[in-house]
Amino acid sequence: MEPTLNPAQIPEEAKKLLDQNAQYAKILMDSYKRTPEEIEALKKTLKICPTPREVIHQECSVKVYRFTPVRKDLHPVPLFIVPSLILRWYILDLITGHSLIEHFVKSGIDTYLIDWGFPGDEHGQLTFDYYIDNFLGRAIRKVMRRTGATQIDLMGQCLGGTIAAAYTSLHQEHIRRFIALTTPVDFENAGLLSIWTDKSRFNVDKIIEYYGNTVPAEFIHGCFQFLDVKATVERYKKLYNNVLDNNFLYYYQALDLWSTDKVPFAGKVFGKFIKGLYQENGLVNKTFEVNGRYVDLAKITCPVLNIAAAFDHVFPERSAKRLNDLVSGPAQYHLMQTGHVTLVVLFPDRLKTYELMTDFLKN
Amino acid sequence: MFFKPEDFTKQWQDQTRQWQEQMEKIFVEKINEMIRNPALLSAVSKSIETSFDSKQKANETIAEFLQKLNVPTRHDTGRIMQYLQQVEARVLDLDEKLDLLLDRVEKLQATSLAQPSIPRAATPAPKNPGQKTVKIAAKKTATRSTSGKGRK
Repeated sequence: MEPTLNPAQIPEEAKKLLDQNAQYAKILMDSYKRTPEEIEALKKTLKICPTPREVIHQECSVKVYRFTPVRKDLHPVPLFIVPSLILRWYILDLITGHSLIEHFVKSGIDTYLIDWGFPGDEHGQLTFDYYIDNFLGRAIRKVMRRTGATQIDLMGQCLGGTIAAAYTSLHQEHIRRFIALTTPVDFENAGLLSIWTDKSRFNVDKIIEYYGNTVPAEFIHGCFQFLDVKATVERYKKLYNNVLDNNFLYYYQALDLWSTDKVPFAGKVFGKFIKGLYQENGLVNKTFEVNGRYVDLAKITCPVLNIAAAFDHVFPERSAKRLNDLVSGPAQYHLMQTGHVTLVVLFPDRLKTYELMTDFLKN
Repeated sequence: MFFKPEDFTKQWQDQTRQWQEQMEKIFVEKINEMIRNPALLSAVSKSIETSFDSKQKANETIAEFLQKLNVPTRHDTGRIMQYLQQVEARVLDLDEKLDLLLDRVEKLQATSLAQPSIPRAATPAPKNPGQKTVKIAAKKTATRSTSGKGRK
């Protein structure tokens, strides 16, 4: 709200202005650094991850959830979701009414998700290959055995989509349909991140040597604020102007909690992510190797739904669009007029995204 | 009256808003230029690497000190965690194999039950009593079925 200098209103307006500034400062301070306990407490307060779920498999920090179905007429093919490694999975199940997973469950889709958790020192020896073949492979096989399905539908979001695409190309026989949501596959000229990770100046070996088992979240996320400076400034302006609006504040805090719940990267996984994908563009050049097998996206022969965001500040649209040229199966491409995250949380765009996916899976 | 206070307020607010917008635009432009500037990026990378080198030396000194005190370092605990991870992975591999094996046993049992029964007199006496083995397998299957196998 705008401060005014009408003499008759000064005391009231001044009080409001003080409240506004105090609240603004408090929210910024709170979100600057939170302990894991504070994050968990805030999750409960804000009712984040509202869809009931059970853990059906666990390995290290990695868990596989099954979201409790609410309909008896379940779709015969289970859906397995692979979220990003960089941030937490619950952007897909943020709050009631703003949840992709809730939509799937209500649509009668038997939904499973792999939660990568927080990699610790035990992940130091694990490679990207282990993540794809073992963590993901074992989880998918578990779901198949549990449900008795011979094939599943696979959906990947952000970098999770890249992992899911690699898995699909290596194990096409397990996958009936594949959905890629803001999934980068072509890392050449892929925005600011590809400039920053250019091999002429970014020495990834040195970083891994120094950090060892895990690359801390602060190192990775420190740069994220600069990916879209204008949006960052707008975000803080919007918060300042609406900080006394409780309704706005609720949605802001839910999103802010998710964006500040940062995940470190397992050292070797980070190394291969930067070298194999950003510096060598391995998926396009077919040089990306998983346990001695080259990932060739042309081996994806199942139907593919590729959804990209026009204002994606993390991975530009062209990076995602390229998937359609690389796969062999029938591929649909949809460009949404949204950002990387707003695609799944912002009204009304999210509803279109949800419907596109449900139609693709069910028809 | 020379001017109304409301007009002055409005004029002041408009000026401030314009100034803020201008500043914001310049700020965003300059930051965007900076974060794309190859020379600056190279300099930042070099300074990060240099700081890593000095921190690495400090870490090595601390590790040496802890070793002399017989206190495990983070590297040591990391190795233990990694060993545990390997053991866990091995157990999960075995669990998966056992699941597959039990599925096959179940299928075999179902097939043998579906076949028409052979008259008792015609059945040759088994060299090793197989009845016991089948019972154990059936028991194991039943236990695992209750722990979450099959769609609920």
